[in-house]
Amino acid sequence: MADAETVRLCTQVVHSHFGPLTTNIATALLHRGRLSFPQLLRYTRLKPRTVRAAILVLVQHNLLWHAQTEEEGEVLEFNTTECLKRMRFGRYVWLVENMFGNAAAEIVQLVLDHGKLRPLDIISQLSIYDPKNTSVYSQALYKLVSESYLKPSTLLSHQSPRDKRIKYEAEERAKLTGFPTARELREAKEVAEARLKREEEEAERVGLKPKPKDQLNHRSSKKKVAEEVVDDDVYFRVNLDKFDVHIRNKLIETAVEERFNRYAVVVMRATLKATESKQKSLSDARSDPCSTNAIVMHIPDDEDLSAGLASNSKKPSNASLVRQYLGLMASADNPTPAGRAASFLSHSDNKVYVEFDIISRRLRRRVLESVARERHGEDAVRIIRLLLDVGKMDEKQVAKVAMMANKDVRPLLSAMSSDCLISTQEIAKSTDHNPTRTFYLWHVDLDRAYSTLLSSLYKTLFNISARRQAEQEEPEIRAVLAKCERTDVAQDEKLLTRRERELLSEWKRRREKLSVLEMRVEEAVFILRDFAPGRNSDE
Amino acid sequence: MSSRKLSADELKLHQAALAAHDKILAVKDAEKVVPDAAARTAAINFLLGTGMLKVIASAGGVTAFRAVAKNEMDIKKDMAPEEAMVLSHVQASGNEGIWTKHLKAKTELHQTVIDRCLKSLVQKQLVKSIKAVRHPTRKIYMLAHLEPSVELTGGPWYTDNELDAEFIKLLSSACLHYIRDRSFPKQNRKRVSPNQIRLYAIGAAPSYPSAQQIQLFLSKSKITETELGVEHVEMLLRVLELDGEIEKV
Repeated sequence: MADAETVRLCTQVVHSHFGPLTTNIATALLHRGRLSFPQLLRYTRLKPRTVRAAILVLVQHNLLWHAQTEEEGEVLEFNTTECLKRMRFGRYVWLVENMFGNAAAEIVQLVLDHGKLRPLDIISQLSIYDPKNTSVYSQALYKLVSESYLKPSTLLSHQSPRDKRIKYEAEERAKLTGFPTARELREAKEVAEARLKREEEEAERVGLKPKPKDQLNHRSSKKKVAEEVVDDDVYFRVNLDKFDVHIRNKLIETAVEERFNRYAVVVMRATLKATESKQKSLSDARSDPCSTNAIVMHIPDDEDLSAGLASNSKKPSNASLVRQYLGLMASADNPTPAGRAASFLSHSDNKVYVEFDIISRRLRRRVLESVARERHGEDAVRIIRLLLDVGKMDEKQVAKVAMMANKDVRPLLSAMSSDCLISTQEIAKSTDHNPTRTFYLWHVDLDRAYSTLLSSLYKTLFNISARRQAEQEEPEIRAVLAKCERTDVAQDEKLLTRRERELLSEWKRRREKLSVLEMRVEEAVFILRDFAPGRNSDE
Repeated sequence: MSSRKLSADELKLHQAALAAHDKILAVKDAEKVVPDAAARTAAINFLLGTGMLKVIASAGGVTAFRAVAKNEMDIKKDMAPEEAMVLSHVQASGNEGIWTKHLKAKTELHQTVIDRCLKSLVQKQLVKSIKAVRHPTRKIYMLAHLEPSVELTGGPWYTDNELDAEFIKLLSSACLHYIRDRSFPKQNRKRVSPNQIRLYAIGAAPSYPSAQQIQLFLSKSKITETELGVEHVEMLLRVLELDGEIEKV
């Protein structure tokens, strides 16, 4: 079950992508949790035919999970994560275009449009107008599949993972003897999670198996029938996780640029690139190791790294410069816990790791701080950082250490706690829990703060697209847009009057502003929801 | 109170007491000044009678006498006994001051009496009312010529009993400038975009400033008249650290 803001946003996404009928079903599922087909019929009050068609559409687009339960038979469940990621589709296509060119972008776009497709369908769809380009497309397709930007859609990916997780967890728990401790419970959860993941990976490998063998055969025999390289019987879908990896890496680069300089970014980009092929999902706490030499190889030749460093040795080699930058980013000159928390990398005997966990923690903290700054000013940030630093603290202590007047601190604290940014902990001096004889300690409950922030960000996203909708439905704009649809107008823009053109450009400008805003909010959502190694993304 | 002149012995005793540390004359010392027991007792009795000496029981149970200076005596001479009592309590509190409520408890006088006494004492400029930073609503009295303790004024960060945020901001920005100057190497060109600034390589960085150095800089730069200790500078640096401007190495 999702909370109100998530439900609203999901409903809107489904509405704008699939239309009102499907929305009806999505709403019922979102509000009431998993439902069986007859229940769905009753709640939506639609014809069975319609409902069935809508369910097919949603399943095709990976938005619905099946689950087999003993009491109710087959039930359907809505996949909110997948739904919210639909807002990023434009970005994914853009990323692919930058990396692999137009053909790959078209493939990804097509697959995104259809949910999942077989290779043959993809190729035939794309080469309708241009039969000569078949080989280009199949090469691009092969590239996408082999680097796991497209992944096979399996039976398992349509089943809700929740039942299995609960089952595996119960199995693990049954193994424990006596009263389980919190730590044992957590470990049981992790084991169950790992088992689930392993199963999923195995299932996906099955879909890919014939591919490398085929590929080798065809290369050696010089028969270039690229369609056969990728397994034709498998339906492929877009591997959103892999694309999220790129979004994350971009974010890390931006963070490095803010902390250090442009040249450090070059080194960081090279480091990320060196391990990119092995970064499959966002859940890794740190990257695979890579050597300094590998990093040096990924640095473009025309970069002058020495421009960004003031060192005392003259004419250092590129490798030693890279090592210097790596040292900086690993906070090697600051061995305190504060220094470690500010690091991007860690290195031990010539192996470099990118510390995703530390970076993500810092980025999430930064989102929290920027929200506090936005809503309550610079002083609030100071208080939050203080509380994060020391844990729990009395109001008077806060005022003293942060060097602020008592009368300023008090309203700030209560305002922030009403925004759920900070929380109180009561410690009663006597057993009767009399409020006058109680200490109130302030602290930051990060999980609570983040989830509140996330739901308010969802609200913002909803409002942005509602606004866009409203802008579009203004009578004047609607008239102009309708006129633009006409074929003669589409060919010759001069048929529009000056006023109409002005209206149109004004509307486009507003829409662009909204899109930029949406992208920024989406970035914050990404940091809070997706970029959290070690945490399950759909919980 | 008799108005006769002091005898030689009495004068000697009084002056010895005045000259002594804290104006306190122990019984033993009195023996040295006037060896004759009967004469000494008579002299002390007379001095006590005129109020020029006061009996004090010190910690070890040893009795001592405190000399009262001539002018101090003049003040007290035409004072009501309640006023004298209130004054003595205010005096005893030193530079910490005493809260009127505590005064009331100690003297066991009625509130209106205490108010009247304090009013007349303030008029005579013997005591003054001060405000403590920690308890802004309390009325606290202390002797007029004393400076309130750090406890009451709250140290250098308080001006007129309020936290001087502007002052703190000024000082911390000065500290930040000082540290920033020493954390980055000289830039090649005058104007560089913020993502192209040069950084120190790990081995090449000079030693970063310590709290002592910053304190020295602040006191030399004459930004403020206020004397700042190292602990005050450390407070400032902690705030900068919380603001995310600097890092502790």
